[in-house]
Amino acid sequence: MKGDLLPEQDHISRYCSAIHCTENGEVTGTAFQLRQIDDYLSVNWLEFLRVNHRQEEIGEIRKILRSKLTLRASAKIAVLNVGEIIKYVRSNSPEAQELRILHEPEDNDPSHSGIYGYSYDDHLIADLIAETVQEIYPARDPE
Amino acid sequence: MRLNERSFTTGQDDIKSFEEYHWAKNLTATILEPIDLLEVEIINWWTQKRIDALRRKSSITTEPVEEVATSVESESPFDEIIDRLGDDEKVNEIVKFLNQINITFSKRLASRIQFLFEASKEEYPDEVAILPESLKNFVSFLQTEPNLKYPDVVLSPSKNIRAQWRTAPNRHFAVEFLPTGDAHFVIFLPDPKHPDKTNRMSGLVSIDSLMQTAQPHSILSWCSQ
Repeated sequence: MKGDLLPEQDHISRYCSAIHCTENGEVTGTAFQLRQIDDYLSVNWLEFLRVNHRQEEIGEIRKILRSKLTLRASAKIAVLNVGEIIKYVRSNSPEAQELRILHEPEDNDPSHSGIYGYSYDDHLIADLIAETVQEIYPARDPE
Repeated sequence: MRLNERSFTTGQDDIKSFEEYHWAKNLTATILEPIDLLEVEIINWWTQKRIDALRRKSSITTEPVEEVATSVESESPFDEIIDRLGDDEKVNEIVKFLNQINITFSKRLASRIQFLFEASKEEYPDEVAILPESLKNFVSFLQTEPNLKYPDVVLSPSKNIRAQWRTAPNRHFAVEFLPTGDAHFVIFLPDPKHPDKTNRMSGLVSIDSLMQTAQPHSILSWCSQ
């Protein structure tokens, strides 16, 4: 339901444009920076998709992304654990920043969720979130 | 009136003047690659124009010497011409410039900027691809810090250049170059008294003060060549 906190053991994915990734395909903090107009960072709640394996979850996420964006070959999908993001940022940010990850379903994207609790100029927080990335997948289906 | 003020308020006289200069030169000289030579030609034209103006001032007018000096020291012709280009053209000019300057990794960097420009255009066709002032500030910074290693270069959501020197989670120096001449930096480094702990800091400083702010944290131990 909209506004629900995501369970800490669950996972989210974040679409990372090629412009936010290094030449080696690593995801940098810019993929987690907010734009000035944003209240939260858009992500997808993987367990909400109710499929059995990570590869199937990523397949579903690719379908959703394709309907919204032009996916470049070098763009990535990063997978992160909800509890780890919150704990890591709280423990390592100078002011023990408290993030919240809430369900924000959209008509064409029911797993859509948001990371709340930081602003567009909190670059240190964005860099900390990037350090919690657990897995990285190509945003496009492998050919 | 100073030469640069008069010339670049309307622009029409200068466009005509440059065209005359360009055609006079190119009808008599061997042409190599006009696009590659454009920047050089603008500089030559502007230099010639200033020399002519100085000659006129020294032989005909009695204007104060200091005004002539101010005119000669004004903004470079390339900067003034580039001010009139669109954002994409400005980025292309800076990439061309990068290919010519003396930074050890300038060609690799030019290629990276070109990649980011194309990726940004493709993914966000309705937005500016790269903010040219941010790119210009980044390149100027690299010219003043020639010992820095090649950084990871990405774009921020605002399309500013962000450079990152990172060799470990506790050796991380990232800088976003803002069009205003300021830099937003993030540093992660080992605590000097407790090396098992990581100090984390961030801030906003002028690009001119960036290294002075960062160097006390020994960032050059992992950022320099």
